[in-house]
Amino acid sequence: MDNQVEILLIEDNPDDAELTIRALKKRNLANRLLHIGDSEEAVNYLFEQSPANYPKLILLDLKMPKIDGIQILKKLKSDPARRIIPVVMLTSSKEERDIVESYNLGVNAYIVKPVQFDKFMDAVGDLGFFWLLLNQPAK
Amino acid sequence: MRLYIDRRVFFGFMTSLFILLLLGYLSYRNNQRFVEQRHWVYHTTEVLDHIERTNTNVVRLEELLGMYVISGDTSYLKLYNNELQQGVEHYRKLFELTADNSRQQAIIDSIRLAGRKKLTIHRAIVNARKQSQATSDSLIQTADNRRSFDRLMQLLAHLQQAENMLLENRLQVSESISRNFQITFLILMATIIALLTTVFVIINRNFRARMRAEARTNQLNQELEAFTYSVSHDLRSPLRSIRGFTEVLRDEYGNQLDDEGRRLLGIVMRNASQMGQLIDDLLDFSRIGRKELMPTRINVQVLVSEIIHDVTENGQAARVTWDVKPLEDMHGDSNMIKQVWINLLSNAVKYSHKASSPRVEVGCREEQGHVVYYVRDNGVGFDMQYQDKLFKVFQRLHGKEFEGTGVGLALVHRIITRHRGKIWAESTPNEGAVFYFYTQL
Repeated sequence: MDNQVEILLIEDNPDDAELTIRALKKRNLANRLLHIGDSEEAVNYLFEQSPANYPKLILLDLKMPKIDGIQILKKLKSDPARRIIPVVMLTSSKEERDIVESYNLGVNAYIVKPVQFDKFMDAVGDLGFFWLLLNQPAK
Repeated sequence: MRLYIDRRVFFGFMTSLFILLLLGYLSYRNNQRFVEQRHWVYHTTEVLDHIERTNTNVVRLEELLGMYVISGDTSYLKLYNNELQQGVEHYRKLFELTADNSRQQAIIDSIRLAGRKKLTIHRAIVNARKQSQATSDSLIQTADNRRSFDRLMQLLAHLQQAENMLLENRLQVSESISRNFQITFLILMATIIALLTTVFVIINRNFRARMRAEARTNQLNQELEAFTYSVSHDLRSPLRSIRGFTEVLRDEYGNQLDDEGRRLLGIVMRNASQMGQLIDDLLDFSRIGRKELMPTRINVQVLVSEIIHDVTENGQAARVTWDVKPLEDMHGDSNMIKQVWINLLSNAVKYSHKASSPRVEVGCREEQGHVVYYVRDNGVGFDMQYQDKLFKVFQRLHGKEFEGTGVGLALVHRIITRHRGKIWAESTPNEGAVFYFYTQL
């Protein structure tokens, strides 16, 4: 199933999205990556898929117009089938409030986007590597 | 001493104080006058007493003489002489007591003359009795004798009347002194009460204004900090893109550029990096204001050696000679104080790295009850005439030869201020600088 999406990137800022994809590409992790730039569209996509087609990892931005990251997280984690998909919050917000709320809702990891690009590249690369290759997903 | 209270309040207080002192003085003076007046009243009653006694004497003398004439008993003469002596005593007393009053003295003088005349008559009667009773009897009956007796009584009555008037006068004066004082006292008291009430109202109003101003300041501060935070935060996002994509450009298209192109690109990247640093510093700066202080005991010796170790490990302080004296513990928020030391020590390293043998000294000393820490370097120093700008945001005293955003020392200053401390610096250009600080938590 080569059109199986491994990583779903939900990010409304196209520039940030491009940088993230480049970082993953550098580590050869972006072959099966889908980027959806509209949060509403992303939710629709996720809830259309059958379990076999769930992404292996969701990279989620917090601050997005219309439906924000927290709401998407809530929807995902309260759905009995979809809550097993690992969700990593990838955001620029360092606010304690956001971090606590995300963990309370069951986020699997919370990463603050570094401003320095090389660090950003490393972080994203490490993330991809960990979740796709190292971590054992549920079947 | 600088005057921080309202001028009117100060004036009100001073006036009240003055009035109280005045009141004190008036009380004292009133008391003196009252006592004096009482003395005079007493004096008058004494005089009246003596007048009364003298009166009795005169009557008694007349009686005793009569008894003697009738009985011929010489024991009456003895009594007469006693009575006479007493009379003279009373007269003398009256003379003494009325020394101040010329009118009374005049009457008393008349009494003296009348008395003398009376005595002459009496002596004649006594002598006559020694011869024959009938003669003395007839002498007693004379109009002369009666007239002289009446005269004496009249004079004494006159004296008494005058003295009574004097008494009444003095009593009235006493009363009016008392009354005047009461009125003055009430007026002054009322004035003080009015003054103090006004002063109280003013003070209260001032305090209310101050509290409102404080609340407003706090609110403004909060707004400012929230603003700074959100601006810095939102600036980071496009900056990330700038840095990221210029790096992509360099990595993937760098070999298509000539040296000049690459140099220009380098300038863009360097500035983007600088901007990132600035935003981070600003964020830190704004966060310090908002965060709650969590004071704890800080082992400065360990903290400083940790920081020195980190700085040396990063290769920045390769050539620096460190001279760390024994450092006392201090109280403060450990994160914030750590930031202070990091900034001061890295500044010392940064600004002395051009020296041939950079040297940084760290120590502390006691000064007027405070533990004052210092960081001394032998680097480029700064011009003392710009020392006011040292701790201000974005104010730099050096150019591009030394990296920096102009926020570091402002941050340090802010932290120290929140710890109720002070920070200051001394320097001679090219001979290094010393930064001193203490906290009072």
